[in-house]
Amino acid sequence: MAKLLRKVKQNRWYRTDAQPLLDIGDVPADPLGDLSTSQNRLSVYQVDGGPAHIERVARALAVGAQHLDNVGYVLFEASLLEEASIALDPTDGDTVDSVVNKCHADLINLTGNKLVALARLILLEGKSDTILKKRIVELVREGLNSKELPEKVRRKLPET
Amino acid sequence: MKLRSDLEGAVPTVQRFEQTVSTAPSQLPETLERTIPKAETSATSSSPAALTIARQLLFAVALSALSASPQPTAIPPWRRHEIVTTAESSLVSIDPALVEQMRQIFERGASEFFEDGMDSNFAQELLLSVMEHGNAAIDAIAEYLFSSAANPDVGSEALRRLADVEDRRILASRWALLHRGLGHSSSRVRDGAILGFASLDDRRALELLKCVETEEPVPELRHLIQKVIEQLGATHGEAAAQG
Repeated sequence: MAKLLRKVKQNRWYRTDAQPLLDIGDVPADPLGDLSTSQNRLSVYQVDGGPAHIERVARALAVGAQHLDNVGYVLFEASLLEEASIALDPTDGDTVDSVVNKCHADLINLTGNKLVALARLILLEGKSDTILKKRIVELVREGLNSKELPEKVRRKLPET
Repeated sequence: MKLRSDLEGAVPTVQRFEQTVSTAPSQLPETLERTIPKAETSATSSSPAALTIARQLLFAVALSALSASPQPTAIPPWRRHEIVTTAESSLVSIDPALVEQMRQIFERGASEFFEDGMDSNFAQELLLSVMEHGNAAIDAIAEYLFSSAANPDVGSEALRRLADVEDRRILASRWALLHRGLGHSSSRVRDGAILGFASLDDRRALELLKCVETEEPVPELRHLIQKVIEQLGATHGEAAAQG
């Protein structure tokens, strides 16, 4: 079953911190900040759940930031979307990695209630993690060597 | 500023950083410090001219920002905290004006939304102050961060960004601050401290992180600590391989 990945700041997604609100059917507001929408669409990436695929997507997202850094993310089953009545629209992404771009999708026709429901489902049934900056730098170097990443990305690497 | 304890007189002192003593970088042999490539790159050694220009630019930006902020109405007397850094204790004075500056920087930072890989005005202001004031700024950050007023998100960002500063002159004080951050009541601040140690990538943090791992109540943070331990272990291996 496909999983969906969304880049977030992981420290806003600790289940332990959210549990008191989850227990009363609510969600903390801070995680919603990581679910910023445009045209009622939310960008996600479809992954197989394996570490290699997750790292490839995370690498592409890291390269798209201002500087290479840790990459926090949440990962959840695509099947959770049905519970929140959310539809998925596969569209090309705009990262520097063309393979990753093919994994991109938008969650569409989102509403406030649907976003809250999604955040709740992710907190209850998804997982969050962070890929450390040092690993991201290694991944970018590997990507440059294998030509999976364009040469222009090299300027983002720290000086050695 | 360090004051001798015999000058302290009747001013009450507060002990802190006690647990840091055993793992503070200044306690370790110089031969180990040479295995840390990042620490070797002093902010003042690689490109002095460029650094000077950068500092002047940053200083101008921060000055304009700070000039728009309300000035403190009352500055409390200098506080003196006893900090155990070696077998003998020394006293460090906390500059109240710097603490006030930190309060203002942190409060402005509270309106920002922090994201991995993205710059923030808060970090820019904070690092400028650290470049200007060195260890005194770190002490002031610690003073404010561990007051009840500090916003955990901003505190987390502060710890993360401070770890990125490549200036070994303030390594010991940053180390102490990160170590103290590992025991903060907020999981977000602890997250910043853990990621800060990952950023330092200094294998001397291994034992320290192993100690806090078992105490950490948030499963995600325990997992993060394990990742950092794994990274530092690899760093250890690389250092050993390089002889």
